[in-house]
Amino acid sequence: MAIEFKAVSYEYSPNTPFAYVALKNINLSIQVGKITAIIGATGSGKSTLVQHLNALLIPTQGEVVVLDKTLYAHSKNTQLKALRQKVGLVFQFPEAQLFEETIEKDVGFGPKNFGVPPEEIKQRVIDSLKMVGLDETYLDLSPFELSGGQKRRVAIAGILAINPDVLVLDEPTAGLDPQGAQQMMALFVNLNRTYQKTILIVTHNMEQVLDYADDVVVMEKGEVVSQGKARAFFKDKELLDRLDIVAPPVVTLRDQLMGNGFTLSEDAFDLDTIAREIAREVGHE
Amino acid sequence: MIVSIKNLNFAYDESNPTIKDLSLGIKKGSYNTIIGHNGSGKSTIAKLLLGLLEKQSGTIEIDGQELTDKTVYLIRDKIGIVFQNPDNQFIGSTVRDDIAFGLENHQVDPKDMDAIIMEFAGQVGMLDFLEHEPTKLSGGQKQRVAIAGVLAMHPDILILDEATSMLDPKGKKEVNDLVRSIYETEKTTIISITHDIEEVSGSDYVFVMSQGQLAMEGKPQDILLRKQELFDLSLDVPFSVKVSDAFKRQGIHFTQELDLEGMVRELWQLNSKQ
Repeated sequence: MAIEFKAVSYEYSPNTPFAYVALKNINLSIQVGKITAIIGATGSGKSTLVQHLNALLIPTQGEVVVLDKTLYAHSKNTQLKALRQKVGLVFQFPEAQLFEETIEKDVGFGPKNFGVPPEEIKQRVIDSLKMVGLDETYLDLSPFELSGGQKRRVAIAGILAINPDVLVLDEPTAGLDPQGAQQMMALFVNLNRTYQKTILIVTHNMEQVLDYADDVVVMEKGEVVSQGKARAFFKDKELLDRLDIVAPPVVTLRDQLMGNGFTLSEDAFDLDTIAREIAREVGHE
Repeated sequence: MIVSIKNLNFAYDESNPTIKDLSLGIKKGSYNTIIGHNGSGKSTIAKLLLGLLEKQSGTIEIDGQELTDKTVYLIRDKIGIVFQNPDNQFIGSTVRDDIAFGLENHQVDPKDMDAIIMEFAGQVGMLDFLEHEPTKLSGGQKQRVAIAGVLAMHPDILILDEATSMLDPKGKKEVNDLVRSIYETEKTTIISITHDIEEVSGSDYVFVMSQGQLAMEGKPQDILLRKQELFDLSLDVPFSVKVSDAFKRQGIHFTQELDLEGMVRELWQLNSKQ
């Protein structure tokens, strides 16, 4: 089982004056079971890329392998429903898509559409709400009575209720306050570790990439310009400079300390480890 | 005080008021930040200042003039606002048309418009994009066009309602740098509603909102060190304060907690003393 892009290009409105090539010859392999961050400036093709994962977009060239399904350019791709059940896509500000009277109905809308038997739907709704940290007392509430962060959780539960193996999230913490954002990221880590979901996150927040992602994919002007392990990526100063990416402050701190003659281990990427190692070095234990 | 709010109350829903007996003052020409968790009432204040929402009681004075049904249009001329989502505030089909829209509404003579558009597009660094479609710009560029449209009205007060929260790091820096230069060169009063704790560090004065009330106010260097209170309000502290905390747990105390380079220097001194 894999997620792979093989020589994929995507052009919006081909053969019209508005034609625009958003993806250019993408070759990319995404690890199943991991958390992968997709980064890059606005307009670099991140959203176009992830919309291929559940066949909202079909490549105009090349092929995309998603688990047991392959999407081909120039071909009538059928049986997409099964794929869409395996890959859940959460757009930016998903709370704007809530519409039902109760949270139970809203979260149950997806499974109902996929033909899940009614008696099973309720259990799925309860399970999905639990995954996002909301209990059964929420079932009868209107989704519109909740705070912004809670609404977003309900919207994500609506996708989880379809029981996807892969969850793709486009800037899931945009607009949340700092603790709301942290709780949201903790939720994705839990979905990955406890429920073995493969997670792809489009984000601008480099601290999140460093703290939570296993792998990172960097896009620029429709091309993948780097892919690899998140930590190794942030150690490569030359690459960061070339890609015009500002490293998270903890990486800058590491550099400053090492520039001042301190030695830090390869794994010292969080403040407590850094402080502990430095304390040992200055004989302060 | 260019903004003076006294005993202000407002509720979307009577049983759960959004602004509760709020009083605050903002100094002319100062850079203010307002922080607070989601739902604390930050954005509601901005809408009340503009008269987009109607207060239930209390008074709002802008530049010595009380906000009432009669003065609301005069007051709106003094305040420019830029919202969070750059895609929700474009009217024109080109950058030029979009900046012109505000001018047309203010019955600026069409003969003068071109010069004004050039001036403000230039100030925000978007002169090369006048004929571009706003929807095709990057997030940072869109917000800069929105700011140009607002500046062309010569506001005394510029309100930014989470104007950088949807931008990538580069776009965020573009907008923050621009706002800072407007503050420095035009002496425009800035009110920035933000989650960006580093922007707060650089402001003159910070208001911390919680449940419709002011939980704290003061200079950032004082407020940002009140870690526990900020944490209890679901807010973040600056990175340097987190660093200082981590070292404290190892028994290393810095003489100050807001200057990261200074802290690294202190560590270096500790090391060389050994």
